[in-house]
Amino acid sequence: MLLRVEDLVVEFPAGRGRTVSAVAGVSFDVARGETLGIVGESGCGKSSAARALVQLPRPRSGSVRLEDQELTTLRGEALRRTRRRLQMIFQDPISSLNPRRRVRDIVGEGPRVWNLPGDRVDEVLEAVGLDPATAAVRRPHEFSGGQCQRVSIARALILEPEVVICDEPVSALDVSVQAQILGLLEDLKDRYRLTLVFIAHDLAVVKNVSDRILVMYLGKVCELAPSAELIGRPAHPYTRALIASIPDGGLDLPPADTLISGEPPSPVEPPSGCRFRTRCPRARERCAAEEPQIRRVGQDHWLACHFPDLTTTD
Amino acid sequence: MRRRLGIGFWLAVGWIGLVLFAALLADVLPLARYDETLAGPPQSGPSLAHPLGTDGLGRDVLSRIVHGARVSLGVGVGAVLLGLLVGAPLGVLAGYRRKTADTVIMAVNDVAQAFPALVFALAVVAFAGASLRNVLIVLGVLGVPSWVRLIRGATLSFADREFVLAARVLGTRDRRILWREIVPNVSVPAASYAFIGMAVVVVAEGSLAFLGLSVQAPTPTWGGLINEGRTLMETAPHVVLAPSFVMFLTVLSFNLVGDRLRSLSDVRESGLEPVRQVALTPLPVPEHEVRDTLLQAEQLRCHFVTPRGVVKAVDGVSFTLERGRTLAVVGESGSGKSMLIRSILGLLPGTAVRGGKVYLSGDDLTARTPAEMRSVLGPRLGTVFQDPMTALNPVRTIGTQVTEPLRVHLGMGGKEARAEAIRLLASVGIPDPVRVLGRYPHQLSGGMRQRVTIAMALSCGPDVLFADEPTTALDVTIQDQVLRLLHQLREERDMAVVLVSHDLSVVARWADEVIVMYAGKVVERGPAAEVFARPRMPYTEALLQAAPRLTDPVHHRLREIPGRPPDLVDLPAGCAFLPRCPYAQERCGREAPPLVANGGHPYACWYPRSSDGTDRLVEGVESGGR
Amino acid sequence: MIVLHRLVRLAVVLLVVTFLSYALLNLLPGDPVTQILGMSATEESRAQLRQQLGLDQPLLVRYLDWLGGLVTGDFGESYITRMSVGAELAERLPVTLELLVAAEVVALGLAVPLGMAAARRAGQPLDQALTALSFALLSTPVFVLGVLLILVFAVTWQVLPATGWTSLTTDLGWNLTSVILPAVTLGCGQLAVYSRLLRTDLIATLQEDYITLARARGLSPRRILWRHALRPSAISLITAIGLNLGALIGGTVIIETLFGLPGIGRLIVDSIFSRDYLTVQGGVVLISVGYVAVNFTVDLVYAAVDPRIRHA
Repeated sequence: MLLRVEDLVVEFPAGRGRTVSAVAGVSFDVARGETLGIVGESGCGKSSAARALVQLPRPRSGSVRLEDQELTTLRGEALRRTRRRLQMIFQDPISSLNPRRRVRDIVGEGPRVWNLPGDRVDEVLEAVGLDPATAAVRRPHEFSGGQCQRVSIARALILEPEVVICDEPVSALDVSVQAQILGLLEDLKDRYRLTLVFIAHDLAVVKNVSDRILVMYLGKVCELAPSAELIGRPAHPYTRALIASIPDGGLDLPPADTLISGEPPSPVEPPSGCRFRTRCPRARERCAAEEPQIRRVGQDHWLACHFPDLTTTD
Repeated sequence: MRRRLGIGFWLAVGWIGLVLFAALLADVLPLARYDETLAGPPQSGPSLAHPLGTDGLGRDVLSRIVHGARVSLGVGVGAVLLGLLVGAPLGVLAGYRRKTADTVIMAVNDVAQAFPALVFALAVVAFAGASLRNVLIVLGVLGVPSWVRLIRGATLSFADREFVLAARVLGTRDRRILWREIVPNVSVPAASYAFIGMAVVVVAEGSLAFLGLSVQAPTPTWGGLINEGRTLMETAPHVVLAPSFVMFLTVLSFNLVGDRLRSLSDVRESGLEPVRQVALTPLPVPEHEVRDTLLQAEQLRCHFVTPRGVVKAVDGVSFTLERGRTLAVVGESGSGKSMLIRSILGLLPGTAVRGGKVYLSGDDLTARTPAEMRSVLGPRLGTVFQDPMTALNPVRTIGTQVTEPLRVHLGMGGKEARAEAIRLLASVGIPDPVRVLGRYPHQLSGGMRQRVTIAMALSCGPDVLFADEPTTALDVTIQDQVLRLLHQLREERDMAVVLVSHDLSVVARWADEVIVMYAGKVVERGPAAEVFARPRMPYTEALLQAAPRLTDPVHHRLREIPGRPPDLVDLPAGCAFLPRCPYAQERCGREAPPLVANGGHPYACWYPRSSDGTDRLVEGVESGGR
Repeated sequence: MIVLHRLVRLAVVLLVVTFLSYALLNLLPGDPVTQILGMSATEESRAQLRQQLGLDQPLLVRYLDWLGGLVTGDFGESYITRMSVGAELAERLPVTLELLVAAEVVALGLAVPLGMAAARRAGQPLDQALTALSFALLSTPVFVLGVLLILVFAVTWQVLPATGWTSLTTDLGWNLTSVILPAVTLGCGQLAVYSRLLRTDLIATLQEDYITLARARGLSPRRILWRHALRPSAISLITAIGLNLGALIGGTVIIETLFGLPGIGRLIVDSIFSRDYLTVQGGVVLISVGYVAVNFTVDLVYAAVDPRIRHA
C-alpha cells in the first residue's frame, strides 16, 4: 500500500475547554495508482482528515504511513523532505492562489523551494490546459474559477508527487467547468501515474472519479467499498440515505425521508455508541450502548453498523 | 485593468511633493531668513516681498512655514519609519506564529494602549529635552502599538488563506512563506497606514509644539507658529491662518493618499461594478397581450451600466405561471437567473435599468411605485434565498423576525402574531417552536434556519413563492427534506413556486416547467420532463451530459463544454453560445436565434438537436468506462 | 466567569501601567529637589530634603508605598506645592469629565444621523459632500480647529467666550456657554471618525441577504435602516468609541490649555513644567483607569449588541 492511515484522530479546541471531535479513529489505505473517494456531509471530518494526512495540522493521534515512512512522528526538516511526494489541491480556487504573484511564480515555487530546474513550468501549464505564453505572466484575478483550479493543479503536479489529495476541487465550480476539471484530473492521473485521494460532498462526482469510496459521518467511517458496489449495494443506513437523498438518482431505494430524519448532532458532543443512531430509523438500544466496529461484509466491502441492510448484498 | 486613483490622490501627492521639496531646499530657495526680524513691517498682510505677510516681529511668515515643514515632515517620516521598523515585524510574528508569541505581544500591546500617549510624550519631551531627536523617538515609539495591531490583523487575514497552506504543503520554509506569501500582501495596508500614520504624527508634533514642547525657538515649527499667531488673532489673522491652512492641507493630503491606498487592497474590481446610470432611458416594451394567469413576465430586461459597457443581465425573458405549478429557472453562474427574480420583485440595485412588464393576476407590477410595491411583497409574493445563514438578521431573535411581517402587513398585535408565528414554525416542521422563537439564528442548524426563512416567506400567505437556490448551501440529506417541504407547502396552500437552481437533478425531480437561461436570455423553455428527455438547444444538451449522475458507470467520461461562460459586456453578435457550440455554423455568428417552437417546446437555436434524440450521441461524447 | 477573567486582566494591566509610568517618570532627567531648592542649594540641604520626601528610598519601595496609598484613595502629597494630589485631581475632574461627555454627545449625536444618511445614498452628492466634510474634519488638528472657532465665534462674532470656565453648580447657563466651543472642537475629529465607520459598515450591511429579504417582505426603507441594519453595523463604531478615548483625552490637554479650562489636562501640563511628578503620576493613573474602564464597558456593550458574541 502506498498510503496507509490507521486510527486517525483529529480534535480542535471549541472554547470553554471543550473539544470538537472532527475525526475519531479513521483507518483506510490507498494502493498505488488508485483513486480513493471520501464522501460525507459538512462537518463529517473529511477535510480535517485530508489536512491531517499532510500533517497540517498534525493529527492528535494515529498513524499516517507513506510507503515505509511514518509521517506523524517526523519533525521539521525530515517532514519537509516528504512533502514533495504528497501534494494537495484545495476547494476555493481564488483563495488558494496568492493574489500578488504571477502564475509563473506560483507554479515555479515548488521547483525553486526544492532546487529543481524550473524549466518544467511551461510543460505543466500546457498539461493542465493553459497556454504558457499568455497565462504565465498573469495574476490569479485575471482568470476564471476553473482556470485558477488548473493553476492549482499545475502547482501540485510540477513536483511530480506520488499522492495528490484533492479537497473538494470542483465544488466551487459550475457544472460545465466541473466536467472539464474532472476530465483533466483523469487525464493527468494516467499521464503522471498519480494516486488520488478525492474528497467531495457530492456522491455523483465522487463516484465518477473513484475506484473505491469511503463514506464518513461525524468523524467516523461508515462504509468503504468499490464504487460500483457501494452505489449499487449500499449496506450502511447512512449510505443508503445519502444515495436516496440525491434527487433523480435513478436507483431503486425507498424515499429518503423514510431512511433518515433530523439533522447531524454537534461534533462537540457526539452521541454515544453509533454516531448515526440519532437520525437512523433502524437504531435500537444496542446502537446507543455499543459503538459498532468496522468489519468486512463482502469482497473488499467494509462496514460499521450493528444492523446493516444486507438484503441486497450477496 | 488599471485602477483609477482619482484626481484627488494626485493632487494630494503633488502637495506632499511640493512641501517636501520646499522643506529640503529651504536654505537654497529665494526666501527671507526665517529668524530675520523686521524683514518687513510687523504684522503686515501679504505682499509681493512677503507672500504670506509678516508676523509680530516682522519676520517672513512663508519662510517660517517652509522651515517649520522640516520639523513636521522630518518627525512625520522618521517616527513612522521607527514605528514601522519595530511594529511591523512584531505584528507579522504575532499574526503568523500565533500561540505564545501572539499572547505575549498582544498582552504588551494592551498595556501600551492603556498608556495616555500624549501625556507621556509631553512628560518625556519636557524632562528629557525638546530636541528633534527626542520628539521623533517618543512619537515613533508611541506609534508602535498601533502598527503591531494593524500588521497583526492583516497578517492574520492572510495566514489563514489556503495559498499559505498550499505553500507549506509544497515544503516551503517559514521564512520564505513570510517573505513571498505574507509580506507582499501585508505591504499594501502597511503603505496605506504609513501615510495615515504620518498625518497622525504631524498632528501630534503640532500639538507638542503648540504647547511649547517640540523643537525650541528660534527653529520655527508649525504648531509653534499657530501658538504665536493666536495672540495676534484680532489684529493680524493671517499670521495664524497661513500655518493653519498649510498644516491642514498637508494632513489632509496624507490622509487622502492613505485612504486611496487602502482601497487598493480591497477585493479586486472586475470592471463590471455598476456605475450610476447617466440617464434613465426606459427600455422599450413590445406589444403584448395580458393573459388571465397568476404570474406573467413579458420581455423582462435588466441592464447595468458598468465602466466596461452595458451588462445585459436579463435580456428579454417572458413566461407565464399558473397556481399549483413549479417553474424552474436553470443556468450557470452569470446566466442572469437570480437577477431575473430580483427584476420581477423590483428589488434591483439603484444602478439597474429595468424593462418589460410583470403582471400578477393581470395587475401590472412594473407600474407600481416602491411604496405601492411593498403591499404586494410579503402578502402576495414570498421569497427564500440561498444561504440561510445570511438570510436571517444575526442580531434579532427568530421571534422578532417571524412576527415582523405579520405585524406590518396583517396588523396583528403582539400576542396574536406570536401565536401565529408558533403555528407557522410548526407547519414548516420545526420541533419545539416556542423555544425557537427566543433564539438567535446562529443557535440553529442550517436546515432549521432555512425552515425559518420559509416560514417567514409564507407568513402572509403569498400566491407565488420565489426560491432562489434554496438548498445550495445545505447538505444533500437536508436538501431533500427542504425540497419535500416546499413541495408539500405548495400543495397545501395552492401556491405557485419559482425555483431557481443550477442543479439539474433538483430541477428534474421537483419542477413542472423549466426555463434554461444562458447569458441573460432564455434559450429553451418547456415542461421539465420533455426538456430533459429531448433537449433541442445544444447548451441544454451539453449541460445535461456534463453533470455526473449516480447511474453512470465509474470513470464515465463527462461531456466537456469547452471555453468559459460568456463575457456579458462583450457578447458575440449572433448566438451567445456560439464560441462553445460544436454544431455552430456561419449563420449562428450573424443572427441571434429567436425563441421559437417548431411543433414542440420553444428553443433558441438555428441548428437544434433532433426531437427524437437520434443524433444526440456525437463524437467525443460516447460514454467510456475504462 | 468571563467578566471575572476580564476584571483580573484589567487589574494586571493597570498595575503594569502604573509601575511603568512611575518608573519612567522617576528615571527621566530632572529633579524635584533642584526644582524646590534651586541650583544654589548646598549638598547637605538637598540630602535632607531628599530624605524628608522619601526620595532616598529605592524606586520599588517608593512605588509600593505610593501604590499602598493609592489603594486607600491617597494619591500622595505634591513635592512642589505640598498639597494633596487627590484633592487637586478631584477638584478638576468634573471639568474634564463634562468636556469629554459633551464632546462625545456632539460627536455621536451628529455622526449617527450623518453616517446613516450617507450610507443610504452611497455615491450620491450628499454622500460625497459628507465624505469630503469628514475628511476635512479628520485632517484638522484640534488646536487649529480651536483657533479657527475662537476666531469666528469669539473674536469676529463675539457670541461665545474665547476662554474661561463657569462650573456647573455656579450657573448652568454660563456653564453651557463655556463648554460649547471646547466640546465642539474636541468632538469634531471624533465625529469624522465615527460617521465614516458607521457609513462603511452600514453600506456593507445594506448589501447583506437579510436586508434584501427584508425588502422582499415589503418592509419600509426607514424600518429596514433603523430596525434591521443599524445594530449589526454598530460594532466598529462601539470599538472606536473605546479605542479613541485615548486620543480624546490627549485632545483635552490641548483644549484645556487653549480655552483656559481648569481641568486635569491643564493640571498635568502645568505639573510637567514644574516637575511635579506625583501630580503627573496621579493624572496618568486617573486617565489609565478611565481608559481601561471604558473599554471594559465597551466589551460588555458588544455582548448586548451582538448575540453572537454573547453566546461565543
